[in-house]
Amino acid sequence: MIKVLKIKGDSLYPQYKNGDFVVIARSPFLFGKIKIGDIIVFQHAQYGLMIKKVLEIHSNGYDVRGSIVESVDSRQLGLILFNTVLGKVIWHIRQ
Amino acid sequence: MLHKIFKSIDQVIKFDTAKAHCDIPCGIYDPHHAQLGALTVIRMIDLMKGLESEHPEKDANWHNSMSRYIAVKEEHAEMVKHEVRVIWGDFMKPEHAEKFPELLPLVDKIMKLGSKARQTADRQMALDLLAAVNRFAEIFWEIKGIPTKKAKAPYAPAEEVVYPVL
Repeated sequence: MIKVLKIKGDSLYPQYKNGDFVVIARSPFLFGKIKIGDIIVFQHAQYGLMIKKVLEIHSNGYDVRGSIVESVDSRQLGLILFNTVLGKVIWHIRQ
Repeated sequence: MLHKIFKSIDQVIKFDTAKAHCDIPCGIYDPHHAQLGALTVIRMIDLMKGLESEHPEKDANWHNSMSRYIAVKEEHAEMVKHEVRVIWGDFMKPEHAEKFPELLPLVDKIMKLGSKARQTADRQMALDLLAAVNRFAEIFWEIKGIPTKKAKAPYAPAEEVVYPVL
């Protein structure tokens, strides 16, 4: 239902930094549906588990972005399919 | 405090990592090397022409110097193309090309001028290469939100270069 993850990388800098921890909710019912601005964790075939911010919600997936221009996100990956999303961040443990 | 607790737990049970992935090297892009390359091409053409006019006797030393100038010109013209390709391919995104419609033709122009810089010893063409690279640098720094200024390089060939104002 919930999962703890460690962040690797700085594409969500400065809000989320390399080495921070997050707790994600894997069930949408306890903490509400995913909405624009939420930070989500999803599985990508090439990159593995990724964490990004939801920019837009489309009928067939989420358009996600990082905070910095060099971020690898939906601009390269395309929309993130709903069934690849593990959950959204409900708690951020900063350094 | 909380982070220390989670860090200690992580050392024992190893939480999975979620990648906030960005291209590697993360954020380290700078058009400065491309600008240096373009300046070097101009400088080598100046040295080649100087050698031709000041030392008409083509002895072994003459050939040695001329060969070295040409080799450096070749190398730096290729460096211009490489550096611009990396920034264009790895840093710039489709929205940048939308915001700056001149970007794609500008990159194409730099590639072609870079090749011309290897094929010829045309100074005006080398100046055109520097101008195109300077414009590319201006756009790069504007994307980064950093203002720029133009100033003459403090060394030969002392041509105008775009610098970030940090």
